[in-house]
Amino acid sequence: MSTAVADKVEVLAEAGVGRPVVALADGLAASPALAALAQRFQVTVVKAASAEALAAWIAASGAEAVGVLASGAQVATALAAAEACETIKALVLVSPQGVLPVERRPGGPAPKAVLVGSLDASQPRDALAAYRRALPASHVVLMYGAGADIAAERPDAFADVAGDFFDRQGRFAFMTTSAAVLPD
Amino acid sequence: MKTCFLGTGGYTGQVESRAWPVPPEQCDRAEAANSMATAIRQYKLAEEVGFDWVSISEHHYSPGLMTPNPGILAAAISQQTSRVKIALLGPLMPLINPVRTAEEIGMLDGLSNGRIVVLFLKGTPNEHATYGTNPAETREITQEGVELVLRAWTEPLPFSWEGRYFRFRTVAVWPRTFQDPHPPVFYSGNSDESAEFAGRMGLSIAIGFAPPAKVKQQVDTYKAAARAAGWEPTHDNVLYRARMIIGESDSDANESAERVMRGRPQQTTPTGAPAGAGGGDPTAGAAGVQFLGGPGTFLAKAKVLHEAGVGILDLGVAGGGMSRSLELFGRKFAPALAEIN
Repeated sequence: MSTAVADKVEVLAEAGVGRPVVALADGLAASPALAALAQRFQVTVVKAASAEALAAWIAASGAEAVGVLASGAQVATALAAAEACETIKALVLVSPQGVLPVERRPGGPAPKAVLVGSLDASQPRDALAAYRRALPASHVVLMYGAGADIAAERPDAFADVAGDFFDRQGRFAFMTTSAAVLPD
Repeated sequence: MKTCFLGTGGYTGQVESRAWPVPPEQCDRAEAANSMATAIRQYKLAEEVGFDWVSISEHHYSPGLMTPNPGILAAAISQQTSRVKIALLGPLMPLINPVRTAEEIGMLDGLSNGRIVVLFLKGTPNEHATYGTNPAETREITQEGVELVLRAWTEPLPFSWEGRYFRFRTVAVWPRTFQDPHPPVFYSGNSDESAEFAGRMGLSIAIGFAPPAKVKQQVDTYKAAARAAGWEPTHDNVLYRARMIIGESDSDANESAERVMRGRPQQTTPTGAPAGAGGGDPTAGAAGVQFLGGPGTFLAKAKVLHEAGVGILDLGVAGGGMSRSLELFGRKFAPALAEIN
């Protein structure tokens, strides 16, 4: 990848310290979810001219492992970038715009979680199963009570699920919090 | 109209006090087993005399309705009956694991060859004290739980649920319900808010013990919400729960009611207040039942309820004489009720 291509990525916001997460999510910069995620990760909200540019920019960052979060129309960009960049180790895909873009570029072997709001009327009726079929070995998460803008409508839940998935991928099915009521 | 026998699974022995929670030391172990055998016999009799459905409630820490898990009794009934629908009215959503319940109902629907009906409720104040539920959250818990169960029954592939009250990172219910896409689901119609939720969600409603005018008001609210959501409920979508004391004639029923009044033990709520036998229905009369009388009086009230939109009567027998009441009901009441359409 050339540096010129990587230059076609604009950084919109940066927050936090920790393992890197790159977010292609315009609304995230203004959402409380960013601050919640930034407590655990170094989050960089970017605008990428293309999947190729995003892949080049991540590869040039020198990081060994990067999580990518993308929403809406940018889901397709993130999936295409993941096919070209082995540094992308996990993807959280929020409110994709239909199944077709996801089917076209399933994003390579990196583990994926797809977040869909239960009130998102723009999603196909069979959205959960359709995304899971389009992205083998993915996890589909129904975010109860949220529409398309999950980060704005349920910021804590959004940050918790996304963060948990970046941390543990498929093992996020196991809780790490104790069930003890009064341990001491 | 369809008829449903509301069995109690009640304790057949004597207890010193029914103040909730009733101390377990008052429960004779053998009598508890006998109570359950009696309940099964009553449910079988209800099928034999012509009831269309039988129903089981969920209640805790009390001899009155000894069914903390209605699904267990439903499983037993499913193996002792062959025709009646078996209605779980209902699992108390704030007290249960919705996914586990979805799995159990999948089992029950298979065991009964598709005869299960279910009503998810939020429970009464004493039920909320059972496992320490916050009463202020029960409505939201119940609504979220219902949506989770419906998803669990209909999603073809595993999914995760990130709710406000429930989190399940893996949901993949086996066995699927016998009925496709799932058993009929009822919801409370007792408040405007719940009736509107049911209409919006495409659920049926159950109204308990209310006077006919209130029933009509709630059905109207429900139907308006359903129409706004693009569908039209029928009488089969509205269940009315009531208590009855019946007889060959009105005077026969009145004599039974007097016996019930004389023998009724004092019941209390967790706060110590007397439990309202009439469930808030000012038309319930001194005996606290919604249906009191012979066939003519009974049918007249049933027709009023039908005109209000009710299609299913869920009827509990007040007082004693269960077998006699059920046989009489099957002989003189059920055939006439079936003619009301």
